[in-house]
Amino acid sequence: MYAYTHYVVIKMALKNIGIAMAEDLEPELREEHGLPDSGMIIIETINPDLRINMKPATDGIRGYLLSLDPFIDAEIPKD
Amino acid sequence: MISFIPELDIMKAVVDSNIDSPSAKCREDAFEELNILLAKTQSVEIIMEGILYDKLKVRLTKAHQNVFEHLYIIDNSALDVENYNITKAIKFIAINKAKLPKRKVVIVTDSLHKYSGWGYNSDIVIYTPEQIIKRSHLFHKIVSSYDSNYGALLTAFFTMPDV
Repeated sequence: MYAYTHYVVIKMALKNIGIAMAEDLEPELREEHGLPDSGMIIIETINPDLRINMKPATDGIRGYLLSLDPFIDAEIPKD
Repeated sequence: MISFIPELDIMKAVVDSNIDSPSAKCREDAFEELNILLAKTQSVEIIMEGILYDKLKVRLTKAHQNVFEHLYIIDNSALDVENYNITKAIKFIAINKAKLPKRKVVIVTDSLHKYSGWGYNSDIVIYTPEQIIKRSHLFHKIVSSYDSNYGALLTAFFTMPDV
């Protein structure tokens, strides 16, 4: 008799997003990530290895969103 | 803590593929100012009302939704309430937030008429995007003379009658 177990592993990279101002970060951290002295910074924590990416949000949050994907061309339902 | 709640007109401008009018640009700029306040202080949260966020999602990919759901509070407390639209839901959330100690609420919209005659109290204010930009600039100007960011936020958004 055989016992058989089937596992399905879904590998999903999760990304946690935060924002900070460059001027509030330690100078060493700015240098390490090649960040400017001021302006908004996007902090992405990539799971599961907890790798941290920091990048300047030169064009703000909207610019960051557009750097990920274009917005879907759809009509927003009326309220 | 100050909760900023943008109305649908603001968020529509943020997720438009093309910003093609000065008023839409002003709405988008005001939302960017809220994000700068969020990044700069521990005393600010941005609330996406649940009905609003559900409608907004038709424009958002999974990657966009991930950003929204990490940066902002998605408040679904009025999502399934019968006969509630976005404005009623925002009023509901604002009143409930403002009841908490040391909480203030700022609603951001160009559609001030939706809130006219509404009996809110001094812990809730409603500003146009233009007013948000001016008051946010005032905050950056005065913050260094305050002991805490929160004190400067209160002055810029609540105490100062006109900017």
